[in-house]
Amino acid sequence: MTSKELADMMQRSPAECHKALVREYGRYVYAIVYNKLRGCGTNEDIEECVSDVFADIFMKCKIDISSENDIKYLICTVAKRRAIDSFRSLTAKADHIADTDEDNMRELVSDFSVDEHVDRSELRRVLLDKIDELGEPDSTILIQKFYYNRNSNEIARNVRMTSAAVRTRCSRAMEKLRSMLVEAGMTI
Amino acid sequence: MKDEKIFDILENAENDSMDRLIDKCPEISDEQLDRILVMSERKFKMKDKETTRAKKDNIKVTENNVVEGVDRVRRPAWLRPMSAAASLILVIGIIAGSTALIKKGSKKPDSDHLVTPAATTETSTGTETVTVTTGTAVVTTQPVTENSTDPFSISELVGKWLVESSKYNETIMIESDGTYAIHRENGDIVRGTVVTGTEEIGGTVHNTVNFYEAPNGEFSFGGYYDRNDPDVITIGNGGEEKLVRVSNDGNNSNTSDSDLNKFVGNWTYQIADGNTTVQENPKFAGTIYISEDGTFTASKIWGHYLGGVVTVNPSGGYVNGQTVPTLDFHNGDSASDEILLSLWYTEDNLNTLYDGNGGSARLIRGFTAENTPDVDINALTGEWTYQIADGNTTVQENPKNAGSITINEDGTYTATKIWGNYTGGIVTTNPNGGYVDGRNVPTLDFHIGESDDIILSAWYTENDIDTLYEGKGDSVRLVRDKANSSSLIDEKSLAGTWEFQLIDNTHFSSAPLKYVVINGNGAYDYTDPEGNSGTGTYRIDTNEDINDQKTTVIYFYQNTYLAFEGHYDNSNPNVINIDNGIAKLVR
Repeated sequence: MTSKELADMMQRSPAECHKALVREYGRYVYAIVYNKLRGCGTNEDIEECVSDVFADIFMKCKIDISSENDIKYLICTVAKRRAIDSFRSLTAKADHIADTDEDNMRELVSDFSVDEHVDRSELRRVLLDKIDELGEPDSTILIQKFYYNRNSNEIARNVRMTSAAVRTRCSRAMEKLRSMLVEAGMTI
Repeated sequence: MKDEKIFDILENAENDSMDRLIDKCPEISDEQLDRILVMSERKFKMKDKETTRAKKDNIKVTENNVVEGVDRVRRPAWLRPMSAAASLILVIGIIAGSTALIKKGSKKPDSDHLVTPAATTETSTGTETVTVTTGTAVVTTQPVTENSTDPFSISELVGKWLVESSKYNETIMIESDGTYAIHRENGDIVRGTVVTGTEEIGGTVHNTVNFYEAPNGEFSFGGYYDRNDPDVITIGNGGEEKLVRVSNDGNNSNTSDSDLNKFVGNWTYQIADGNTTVQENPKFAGTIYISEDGTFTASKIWGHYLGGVVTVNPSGGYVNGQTVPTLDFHNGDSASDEILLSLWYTEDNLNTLYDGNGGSARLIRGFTAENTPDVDINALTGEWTYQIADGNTTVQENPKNAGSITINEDGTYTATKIWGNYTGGIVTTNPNGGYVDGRNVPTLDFHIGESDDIILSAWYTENDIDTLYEGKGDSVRLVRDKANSSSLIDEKSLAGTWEFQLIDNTHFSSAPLKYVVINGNGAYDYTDPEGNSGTGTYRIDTNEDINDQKTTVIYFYQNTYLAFEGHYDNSNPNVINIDNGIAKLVR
């Protein structure tokens, strides 16, 4: 969907435009938000955040959307920004304020480690490469089972298999992935 | 490392990894997308309203605004002599008045005629104080001025006020608790607090009334209140706008339990589907149950189950130039909590409540066809025993078996001994078929053959799907024959302490859990081998098809994670097999 198409649709019927946006980009936004909130939010928190993203997009559409070059890029940016906001509010702790003196201040360092960040990023790529090497539908089954936390029934519907077959394949694929990761030098 | 822990690395991914994860994201169901759309629309409308209002309130002259030209004003010719004459009259008046006052003050009282009063009572009416002296009495009446000793308080302002202005057509409700609600012409309601005080201008004390808007407490507008004119609050200094009292009744005094009792029961929330009205194309958007104790529970409307208190505001809405009552749903246990939904209604139709202008959303009494309750016909299949009351008692006290009914998965039933010739037909569910204890309940309707004629309409509640009742529920019932029914279990039958036993260490190098305590209400507590404890939730699926067999699967969640899943068999009720036999929970 281009921004021009979206602007035209908005002029014809804002309600239809909103509906089309959610249908077209709902899964996309959900995946982005899920990636940020997976570890700290419930399903309801994730849905809440997705609806916040679309409310922001609807506001943008009302003002002017035609100048946007890439609507998908805009949605991605809004989704990431919103998800980070939600992450912060969900993980906010009560003890924001702590007493400290000047000597202690010198000892305080950022908990962000560049090395760790690079390592994690590399591990992520290796893991995704290895999962892709398993081929379809095993890669989708593993990601949906262990990353998206879907049960066998739900995965079975997505990959058009019986849930029993999904369980069997999942078990085998996990074994295979495990040995592939060991070969690649990843400790499990 | 546990399998799912490996996948935690994928969180907070950068763009290229993110794209790969998006490709494998499961499809989002239409129901979930609809829910997201409804929530988004609601949030968008609120934001839009806020933005419009903020723009309206913040029109300022900036340095780019240029004013040009000359505004010529001609004063009427008669104004000058008229002003001179008025000044002269004023001067004469002051002189005459002063002289009279001086003369009056110099006159000594005639002490011979004074009588000592027998008793004195004081009556305060708010506008004047009358001192009545009995016996051979002297009566004096003294008007109360702004310097009255009674402190100015909010109680004097309680009631409904009409804004007299050329710009707005609004009413303001001031409550005894110091809150106010402005009902705008377009249906919007603005709430806040009223603060009373005094202000001295040129030696005279004036009563001030200031309105602060919720939730930020920003000053909205203010005015002056004169006790000699108790039904008027003048706004600002000019006095062009004023509030005129319409009635002295606050909402709090008008709201009674009986108002709320009219709404007790199940309700369905509908929104307009597409660019139409809710009357033309209603679309199911959730349910609300209003309880007798003034609370509500809602599902799906706000994306998740939510509850709070519900209050009646006799003049909460403003529709078609008239004030209408509203039912307000609060996000919390107090009437002062944020209002999530304010729906208006008219006394002549208490079965439909409307949102906004009435075209976008509504709440209708009972369930609708789209709103099938959680219990469907598949959960009611199996063998049932038809029982009637034996003798002049209730079926609960003396049940007597009078036949049996088999409900099949294809939506048919066969009956024996109950209705003579009628031995079977179709069976349908009616989500809104019964009305028991002030709420709608679903019914299971047994038809004569495939006709529309219903021979038995048995109601049930979602909490107990093992007993169906007819009528009031004390003369006839259907009881599920558990021995012959499919492997239906409920949460309570799983309650207890279960030990986690590892069978196959392929997936787990050691048992991740030690004990699981199932509480029987959808939650469980667990203890790991190190002695750490935590809680999670579980869900039972009694109808999962595994190897062409109906199996009961229990899904155990920790936060959003599906921690593990187990198979349960009625024939071995003290064991739950975990993840294809790699472990088991033993009761």
